Amino acid sequence: MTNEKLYEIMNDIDDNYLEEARKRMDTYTATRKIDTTHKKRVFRYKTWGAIAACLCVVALGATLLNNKSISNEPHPEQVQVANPLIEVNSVKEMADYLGFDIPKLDKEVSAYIVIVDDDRYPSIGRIEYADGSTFNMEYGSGDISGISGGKLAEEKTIDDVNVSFYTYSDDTSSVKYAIWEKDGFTYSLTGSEDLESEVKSLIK
Amino acid sequence: MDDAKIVELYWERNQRAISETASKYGKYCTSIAKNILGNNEDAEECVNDTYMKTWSALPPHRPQMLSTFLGKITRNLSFNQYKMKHADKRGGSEIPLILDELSECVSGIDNTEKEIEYKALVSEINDFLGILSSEKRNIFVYRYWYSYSVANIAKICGIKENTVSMILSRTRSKLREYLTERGYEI
Repeated sequence: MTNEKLYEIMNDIDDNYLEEARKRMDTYTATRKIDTTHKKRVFRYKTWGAIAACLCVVALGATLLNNKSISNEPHPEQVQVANPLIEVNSVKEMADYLGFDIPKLDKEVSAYIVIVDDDRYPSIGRIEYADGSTFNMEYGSGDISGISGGKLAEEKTIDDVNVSFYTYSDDTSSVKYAIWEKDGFTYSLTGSEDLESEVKSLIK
Repeated sequence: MDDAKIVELYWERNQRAISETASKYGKYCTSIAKNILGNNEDAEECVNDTYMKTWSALPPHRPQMLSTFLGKITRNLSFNQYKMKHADKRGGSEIPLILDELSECVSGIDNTEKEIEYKALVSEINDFLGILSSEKRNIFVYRYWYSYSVANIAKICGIKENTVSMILSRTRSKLREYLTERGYEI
């Protein structure tokens, strides 16, 4: 079958699914119109609210200056934050979460991790190796090493893939890492003793 | 105007049917056509053809959902026109990118000799869409039926463009796997 034929066949997708999507679009369009109106009204409330807040701060400040008996005990209440890191037991489980296979080096692994993005979707696969190296993989492009401020040491082509090798140094340590993109995915390998060789293995 | 009343106008051969259709669904059909053809002029032509086809089809048809009935005619006409005109990739059409993406799901071989049961395949695709979450299904439909750009889909769904691309990529893989498991060599 050709891609054009598949596109044509999709014309007969169930009406209920098309209508579901259309209604969602209508809601989005309507919400954008409401938001524009809402912003104009909210402005006035915000202005008065800001003035009231300033007055409260001034009043509180005056009270504190006169009252030294307020407790400095920390509040024990904790806010629960969704955990963006999911630890799993194998590359297969990672693939189940992410929908793509993760290449693995032939050395001891200390953790298989799936990282959830801001939109609540598992998006990055991370393998932490026992030797301290870390491999990241994500659908898309860009540097996912998580390291900022590294200096480009060299660029090489390995099996038709452009790989950039970086070094990051601070007062206490230095680490080498590599980043590359292939077939719609972006990769990074950090802290490997044999960086180039392991990058080559991963690319294959 | 209510869809049932618009359909009734067609059945009565009342020409107000066209103006009421245009008023209620003109933008909807234009958006579908423009996503495929990439320009207003060609899109307008297709939408006008849609009204003419609808006039010919009703009666005897009495569609349950007028929106999707019109949408399907527009989409079909637009894609046929796109194929005839071999739309320039530099135009505003999403079709070249969409067809590239759908290439992942198919063999690329025009196996007209080996007849694939069209209705059965459509049924399988609908069953596949039925097992997806509502959000993933909407994203798939926005891309491969409505032909929206990834940027627009991201705005509608309130998520990042990269997330949309990722969901589409995974869904295409799962569709291919789903159809292969059921014996379809597409």
